[in-house]
Amino acid sequence: MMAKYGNASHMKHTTPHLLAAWLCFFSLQYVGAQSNPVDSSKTDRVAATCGAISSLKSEKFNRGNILDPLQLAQGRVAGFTLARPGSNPNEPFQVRLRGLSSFISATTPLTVVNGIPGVDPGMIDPNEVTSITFLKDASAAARYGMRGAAGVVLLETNKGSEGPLTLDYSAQAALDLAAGRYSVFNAGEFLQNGGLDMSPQSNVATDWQSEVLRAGLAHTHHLGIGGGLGRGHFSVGLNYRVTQGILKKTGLNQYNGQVGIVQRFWKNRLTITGNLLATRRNADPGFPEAFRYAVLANPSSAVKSDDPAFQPFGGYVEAALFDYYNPAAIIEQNASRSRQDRIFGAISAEAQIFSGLSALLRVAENRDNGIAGEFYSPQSKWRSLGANGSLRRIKSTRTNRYLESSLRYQRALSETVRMDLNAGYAWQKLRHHYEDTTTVGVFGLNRESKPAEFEALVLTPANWFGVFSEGNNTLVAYFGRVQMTIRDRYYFEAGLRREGSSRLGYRNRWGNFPYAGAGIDLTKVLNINNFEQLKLRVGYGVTGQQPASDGLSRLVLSPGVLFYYNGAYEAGLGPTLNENPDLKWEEKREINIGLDFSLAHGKIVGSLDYYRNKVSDIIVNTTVPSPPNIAPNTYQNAGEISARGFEAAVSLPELLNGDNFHWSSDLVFQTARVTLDQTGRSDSVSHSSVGAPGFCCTGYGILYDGVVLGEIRGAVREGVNADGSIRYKDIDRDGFINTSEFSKDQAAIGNGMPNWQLGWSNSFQWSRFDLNIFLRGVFGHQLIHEFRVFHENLNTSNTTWNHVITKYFDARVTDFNRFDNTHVESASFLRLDNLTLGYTLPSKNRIRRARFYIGGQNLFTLSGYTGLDPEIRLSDPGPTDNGSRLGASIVQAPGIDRRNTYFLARTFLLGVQVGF
Amino acid sequence: MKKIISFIVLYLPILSMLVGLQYACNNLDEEITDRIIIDHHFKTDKDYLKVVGPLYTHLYGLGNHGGFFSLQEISSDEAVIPTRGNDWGDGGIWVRAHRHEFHSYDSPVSNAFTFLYAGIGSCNKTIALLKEAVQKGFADSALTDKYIAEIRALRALYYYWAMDGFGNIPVVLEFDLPDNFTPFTVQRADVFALIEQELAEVVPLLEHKNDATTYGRINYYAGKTLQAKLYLNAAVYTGISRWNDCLAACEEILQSGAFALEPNYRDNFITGNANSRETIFAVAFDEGFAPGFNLHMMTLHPASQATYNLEQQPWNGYCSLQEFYNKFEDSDIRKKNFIVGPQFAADGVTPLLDQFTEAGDPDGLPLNYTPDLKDISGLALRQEGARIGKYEFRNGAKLNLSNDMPVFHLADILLMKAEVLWRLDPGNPEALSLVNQVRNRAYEPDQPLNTLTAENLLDERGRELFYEGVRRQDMIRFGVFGNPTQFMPGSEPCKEIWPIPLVQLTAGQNIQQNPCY
Repeated sequence: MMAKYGNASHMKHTTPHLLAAWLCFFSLQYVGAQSNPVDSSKTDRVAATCGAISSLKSEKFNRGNILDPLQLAQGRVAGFTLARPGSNPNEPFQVRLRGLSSFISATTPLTVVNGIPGVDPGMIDPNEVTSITFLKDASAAARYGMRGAAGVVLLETNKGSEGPLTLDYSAQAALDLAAGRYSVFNAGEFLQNGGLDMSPQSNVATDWQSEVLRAGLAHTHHLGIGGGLGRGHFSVGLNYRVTQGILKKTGLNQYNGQVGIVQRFWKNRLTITGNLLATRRNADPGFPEAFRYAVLANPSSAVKSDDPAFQPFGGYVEAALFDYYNPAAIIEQNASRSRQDRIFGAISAEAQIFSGLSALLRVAENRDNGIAGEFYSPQSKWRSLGANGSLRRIKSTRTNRYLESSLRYQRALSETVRMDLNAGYAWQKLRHHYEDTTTVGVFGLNRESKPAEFEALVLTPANWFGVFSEGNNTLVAYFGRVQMTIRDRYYFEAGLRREGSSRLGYRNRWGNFPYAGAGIDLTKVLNINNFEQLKLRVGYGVTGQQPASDGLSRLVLSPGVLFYYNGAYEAGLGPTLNENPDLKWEEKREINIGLDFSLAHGKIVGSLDYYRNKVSDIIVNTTVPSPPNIAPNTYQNAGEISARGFEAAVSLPELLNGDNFHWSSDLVFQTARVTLDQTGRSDSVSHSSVGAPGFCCTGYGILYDGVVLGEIRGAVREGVNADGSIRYKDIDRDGFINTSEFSKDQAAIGNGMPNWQLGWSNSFQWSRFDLNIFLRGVFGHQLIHEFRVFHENLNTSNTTWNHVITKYFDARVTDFNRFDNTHVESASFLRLDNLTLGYTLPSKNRIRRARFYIGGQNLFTLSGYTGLDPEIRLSDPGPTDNGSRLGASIVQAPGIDRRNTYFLARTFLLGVQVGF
Repeated sequence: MKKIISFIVLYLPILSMLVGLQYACNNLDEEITDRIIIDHHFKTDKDYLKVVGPLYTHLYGLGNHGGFFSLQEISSDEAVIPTRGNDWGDGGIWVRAHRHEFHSYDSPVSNAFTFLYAGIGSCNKTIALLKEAVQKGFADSALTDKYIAEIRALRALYYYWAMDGFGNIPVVLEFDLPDNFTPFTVQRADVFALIEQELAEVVPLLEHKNDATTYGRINYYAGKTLQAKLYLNAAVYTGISRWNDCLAACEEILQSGAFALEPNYRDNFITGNANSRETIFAVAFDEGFAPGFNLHMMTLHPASQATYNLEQQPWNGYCSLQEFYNKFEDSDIRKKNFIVGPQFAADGVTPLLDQFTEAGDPDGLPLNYTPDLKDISGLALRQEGARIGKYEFRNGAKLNLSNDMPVFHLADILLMKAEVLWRLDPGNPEALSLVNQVRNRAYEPDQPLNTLTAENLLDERGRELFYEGVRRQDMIRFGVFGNPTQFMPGSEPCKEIWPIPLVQLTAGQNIQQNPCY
């Protein structure tokens, strides 16, 4: 409903925060990882806090050819899920901390780099990360208020340490090979089964998957200098890495340099910490869609031909068929390139004013400039047919400015009571600018042209079109926290963050995010044998999530139709979005009960956590009637998600500890159940369209209030008739088979979310040899094998595409392809994520350390899934066909193995580390 | 002491910064630069035009097939869409429309209604948007009043058309209606009064300029023309004639000197006719920017593609009728409104061949447009029928034309004034001279009429305003709409208004069907 709102003065909504700020001085916080006493090499806890916090130091990081710093912790932290189907080096991982927290706002945790929130960890070279800390529950993440609902990840980069000057060099070479391929008909089988013969004059048999695959080579180099420097220490690192994807013409190279320095002045009463990071990444994202067409392309077609009929396609054999492309032509005729330059600078000063009271001031800025170009040859059928070539250019700039000041007062109130007070203020402004333009009929460029040449091309207004966006986001926060420790056994903390965001409706710009926790070390209260620690803790907190972008609460007019005025046609405006001055943050409330333990003289260390949370006021873009509303859409706080889960982490640091042999083991386990209590839609709606050919408008699932996240719905197959047709179950028993309507003959036939996940790492040391084995398992989820949905049945109307042959293939079935329960396969898997065998040379005078290693990633995967990668799909990118581009991913629809997925690689490694 | 110094040196700057920040840095006002937010809009004329301009784009629907304009034309005696074999059968809707056998479930009827009310709805919505902006203090109220007046005048045009076609209609003048509101039927005479009242209020506020900036928009003179049209037909709408009010409106337009007859009648309808000094209000079409006008595709035979080098093959639909065609003398330049006779390729000499010609076609393979239609309900031959060539079809025309479609132009004002004078006094010499002023332009040398009769006045309007969507109205006003013609067996007076579409009746419980439907 369109409501009437007050007058203009409401828009200038400034809050008298001085008072609030001073009040806050008596409460909470800052937990930058720096001032947080994170220690120990184990996945363990910060003693004084009561929330669910896991911290990982570099010794426990994943190894191998790793590009994304978060991958260092994949499978190592209970509650943390990082997944990327396939091995596309340019595809970002999907990240979740404790399930799903939103629909269209941020669902990935807030990343905080060296205390600066909102910094993309992709700008850090993994070699420079020294620790990663996960604030999992709301009582821990509430310290980051308005952006903490999806959890928080704190990353620290190398700043060196006191001691003599060291020089380290490490290098690693990696070889990526396809871990598997789809089994398809060869040319003979294809023709026998009614396929279209594209080489009637000769017997061509093309193995298309081989045409696009290659062995990907990668190498990384790291040079680091660090050590003490007067009253301080520093680190300088240089990194260079090259990675080739297993799809031809995909890959990247990256240069990174970083300086970290800590210096103390005035008898250690002033500490200055500085960081400078710069990264340039040149990438060839290429066209992963080529994999799809390599699976499906006609094996009787040659790659190239002298036939004049194919001259317009530059000699590549193409067919004028719907959604049919020569995959080699996609790769070889066209180009997709990008370059991203990122720079990050931060400086902080911590001053001890008098004993117990210290002040912190922190300022930072980072910039991210990207340019990407896509070039489509005039001869390419792919995305260029009829356009005589086309060119796309994307420019983006992001900046992030941050300022924080806080006071901290630590004091022992008595012999037994210690208190830690913290309060402060933080301000942040993020800006972005984005241009995406396309022009057709391009000359003078080819697939070897560099992005800069794309940029230099003058786009004349007559033949370009595109989108443009820019915006900024201001966040202001006041925070305070108190922590108390009584007799080293009772812990208490409470805090409040009051934070405002410019993205919210003007009536709801400021939110309060309180949290509290209490803990007790039972070993010191009760008399428990064998336990060194048995800390029971309870935390409760409220975190928020701001809207996905700016302007969502405003009445927006968007360009639409053209109208004639003064001799020319101008773009007219029409209302597209209604105002919602009440648009507020999404709010997550979570209770977490945890138990930290250490027994048998530290031989068994671990923690258990159980949580329940509810995210309410989730922002949904709702369709509203017009009239009475001026525009057809309004962003409203209408969704709700609840989740509960259990996490366990157990460390056995000395499973075996002999003179010459050492074995340690770590196990993490997680299980969670997420329910979409309110989807924010008035009707049950189908989501995740199956796509073309033939299923434009049916979905893989429906969203209804109370649906368990990941539910897959579809028809149920009863059997196959003698004539090759498929018999479906008449679920509603109305005597008719209607498989396309979810209310009729469809049932819940699977779930894309796992029941439980585990990570198990083992470290062995024998003499100078070391061996690391890391196994990761995900269990209980199903995947929709989409190649089978579309390309399994021997239906005679399909002469265009090849067939995908799995153990489910049944030559008797000649019915139309239609999605049903037989395409939903169990995808539980156990994977040898990493194995490394190293040998350390005896140290010589000048050589502090020298180690060689060999290893591998994804050496084997145990799974019954017949697709290439049983990894969970946390969100669905949706269908594409005929060269169309992917839209925004839907996070409510996990579990769909789309045909565009990049193939999975197996990696073999060889490396050396030398320290002087 | 040392502590105090430390405090001053170290903490005071921080403290002062903290305090300063409270004032400087808690501003969370959103700065939006990539979208138009109502707060930053509505300062200059251009800002208003951005939301008012799109309302006119709805009129692009006039140039297309299937709705309001088609129904106006096909139910008159000047145009028909014959069913040729199966082509254009469309369940008989076009044959029925021509025979005045209107049904409430026929798509032309519901399309016409939907077109008009969608236009009305977007006017209401934009008025609401501007009022909201004013209410919030984001818009200039004087400028807003001017543009709201323009929107109300455009809305009055839609209501005038709806009243003309459907007679008794629902009238909704607000956007934000209460939940329990259901539209109800307003009798034709009351609709007339509402439109009259609206126009009386808003026409004086309309832009008086008549130049490129008002072209394609409702300015003062377009508003006056609308008033003239309303009063001209007042007797039909209300039973009470308002000849003098029509006369006053026409005279004001004529006396303004803002418009002049183009020396060449055909220049009003050429490609790129936006410069015509005769046009008072037109829909500004463009083949690329403002698509929707595709008369060439609708009327021409597929083989005619070669005459005009059209991008696509035309669809062989609309044509005129022999009786009407014969109202034009051969020396009348306006006879070029029709395309008849043997057709040639663009070179002018190569005869066009119709490979699909029927066995019974006396013309055989060569394409020949003959004004005589044998039938309109299935037996019509593909080549039959005078084609509608009122607008220039440029060589190489694409799917849509770049000819603007005049809704009001000066010749009509002259003929309206003549008719009113004639109706007030059949012997009025000015009436005759006005008709001849229009008529003489079409002849070389002049062939003036000597006397005015109802018949030759209506015929003159038919010749001058052919295919401008006014023929049905003129026939009704002259009382001949129900008279039989070649393919129309004659109809009752109640067929002078169309039925209210069935979907509207089922949706709105307070909407009544018109008599005899």
